[in-house]
Amino acid sequence: MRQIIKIAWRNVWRNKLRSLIVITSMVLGLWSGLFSASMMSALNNQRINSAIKSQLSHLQIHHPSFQDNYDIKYQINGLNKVLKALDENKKVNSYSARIVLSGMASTARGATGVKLIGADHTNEINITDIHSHIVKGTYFSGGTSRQAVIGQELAEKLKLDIKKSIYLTFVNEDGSQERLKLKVVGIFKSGNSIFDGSHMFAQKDYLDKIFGKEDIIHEIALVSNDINQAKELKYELLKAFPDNEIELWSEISPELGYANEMLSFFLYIFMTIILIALSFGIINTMLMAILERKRELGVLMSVGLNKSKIFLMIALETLFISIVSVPLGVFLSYVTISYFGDVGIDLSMVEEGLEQFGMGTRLYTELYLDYYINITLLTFLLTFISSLFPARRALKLEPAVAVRSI
Amino acid sequence: MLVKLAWRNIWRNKKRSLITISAIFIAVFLCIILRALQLGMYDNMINNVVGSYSGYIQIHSKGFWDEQIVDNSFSLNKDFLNEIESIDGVSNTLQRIQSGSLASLSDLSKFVFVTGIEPSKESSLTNWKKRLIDGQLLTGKSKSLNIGKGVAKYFDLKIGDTLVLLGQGYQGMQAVGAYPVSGILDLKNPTLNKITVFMTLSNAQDFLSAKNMITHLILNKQENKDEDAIALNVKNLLNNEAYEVMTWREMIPELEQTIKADSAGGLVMVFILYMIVAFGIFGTVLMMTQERKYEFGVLISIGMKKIRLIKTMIYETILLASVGVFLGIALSRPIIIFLSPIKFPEEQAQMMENMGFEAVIPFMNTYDIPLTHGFIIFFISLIVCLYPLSVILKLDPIKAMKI
Repeated sequence: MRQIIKIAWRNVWRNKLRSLIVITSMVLGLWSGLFSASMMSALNNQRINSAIKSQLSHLQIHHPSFQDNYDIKYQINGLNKVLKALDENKKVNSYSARIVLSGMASTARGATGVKLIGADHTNEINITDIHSHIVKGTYFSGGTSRQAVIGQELAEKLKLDIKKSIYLTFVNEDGSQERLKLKVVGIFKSGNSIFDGSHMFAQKDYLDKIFGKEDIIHEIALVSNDINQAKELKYELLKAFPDNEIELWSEISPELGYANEMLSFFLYIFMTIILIALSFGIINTMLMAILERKRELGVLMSVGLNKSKIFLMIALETLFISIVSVPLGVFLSYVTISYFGDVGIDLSMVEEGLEQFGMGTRLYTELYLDYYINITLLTFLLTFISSLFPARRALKLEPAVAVRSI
Repeated sequence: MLVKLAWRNIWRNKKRSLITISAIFIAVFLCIILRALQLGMYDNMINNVVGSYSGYIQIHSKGFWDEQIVDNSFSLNKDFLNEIESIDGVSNTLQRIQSGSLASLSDLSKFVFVTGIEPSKESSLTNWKKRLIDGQLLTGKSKSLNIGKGVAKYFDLKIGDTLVLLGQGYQGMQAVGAYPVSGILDLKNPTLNKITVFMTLSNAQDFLSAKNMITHLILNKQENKDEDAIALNVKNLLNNEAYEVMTWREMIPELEQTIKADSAGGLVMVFILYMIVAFGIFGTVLMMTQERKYEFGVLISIGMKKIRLIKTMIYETILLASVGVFLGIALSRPIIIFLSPIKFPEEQAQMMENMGFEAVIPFMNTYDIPLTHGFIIFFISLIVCLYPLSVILKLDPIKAMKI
């Protein structure tokens, strides 16, 4: 047995060119496959993250009827209990309780429907990253409390600039119309043009003063410690507060969730196709190698190496090649993925569409550990299976004929 | 003579030829499958998002997109419609008229979009039966309304209740009407659900005092046709001063961006697959060359010119590659036709269907995918064939014939 292992190992290196070709193709296949998988998932994550960070958050809590018509009277049920539960829940990283007013924003130059989000901006910066997307002015500062930060598209629609006034007309709880006058201090560009054209932020303190009370809350946006916990958290909260509507980001924006599911499924199909291509490369090369070594194998058989040993020898040769290449390929992938995970890949040359997306032009690659493990195991399994074909082929040789072949 | 020699070489060692062919076949086969799936996935995403409601191409009166009021409507005559429908790739057309109105029931009121549709034609876009939650769908002459479930929820409304609609009609006319609700729909889109009220086209035209006017003409395309080409044809046909022609790319730029970002990654994937299959073919050809070194040595020592041997090799490669490419294309067809669409695993499928999307990836079934990829692999095989050629050029017959 040990002898066979030794012979197989030496056979691998006897024909260096052949083994190197197979090894290179496996290393390159694994490396590029894993790397592009990491790119795809990073693209996807970055896109989702940018939407989550600028608008969706992980979870949103509303009164069940609020989103039907953004009616001011549908405030969160049992607000204090909900807030207390959120404070105590360890899965919750941070949250922001908001007043949401749907109304008509107007200036002398025009009018359009908008959603005004009134939040405590010291909390809000933990939830949304609008503060880092300010293109003009500042994200709330000292001074007057009547400040507003508006989207760039909205500013263009209403021909607004910073230091100008904007009026918001909305319907109050009693059905009467109210008009707020706010001063634009900052203009943001989140990357989503629809969002930017229909949203503005104001300070909750000011709105509280207008309403004369502090406990008007229509929306709680929250971020959990880990986005994968969000679903669990949703059901936990839903159980405790069945009379509120609690939605995951993928429910608030179904298109985004749909694209996400679609791509992660496709990634597996892609890796399977790559691995099938790899194993066929191995099988064909090894089969050809058997033909080349017909004579040698015939000699071995005639001098008394029995069939099971021949089988073992050929199978081991294939396996040894993969034992050399898989760790190398995975290691290379790991190194490059972590390198580009830190430095990022500059995509500004390839894709100008990305920036409009609010994704930035740098792509930071990442890949989950279980993906590495699954792929490594899958590759070993496939090479094991592909090692059987050439080995079986070798068994079919007739020693007497094989020896005579040239 | 050399072609004949090549042909006989192939048949002389059937196993060897079979292995080479299978290497090329697998390459073509996998590339076609990957690309067909990739493009099928994008197509399905577009189809799911735009196909169900907004359609691939819309024609409006100029300026409607920026100011969506009923005054920006246009009238449609039969000839004009026939001309558009006869454009290559257009499968059918839908007419809609849409206007914002205030809907009220007892003391509640809400802003909605009243859309007049042609119920029977509309079902070519979406299976409305599946979307119906309660009541009945509109039919040709109904005077009733179908509403989104969000609207129904807001009014806490049951089938048979009457909604009062009040809006701006055509050219300053007041649009007022009271209509019973006959059906509640789940449009699988939270925003649409909250603002949509459907009535039949003729009913809506009466309501808005806009006889024969429409705001949207929606063009549906035949499968696998290019909507941009159709849009261009339509634009050429129309008087550009009076109409605007928009594809989903302009109407839903977000989706376009998503797909753009992905297809960059998709091309990388295809490239990687090519690299791997090229290595697979190379490994096979490499071993084949080594196996035949002896044979080459003999041929050269009995006086065959190297250049003729090289020609024979090229013919052999062309023959083998053609068979492999042909097999790859032929065998990928049944897969693309019969295995399509690929279904998602149960749990994911459930989730996606809840969102209102079809949880499948269909294969893109066109001829240019197999042809392009067949050609590329054929080309790769020819490049790989350079290796045996260089071996022949450098071959020292005496060395080669020593075993």
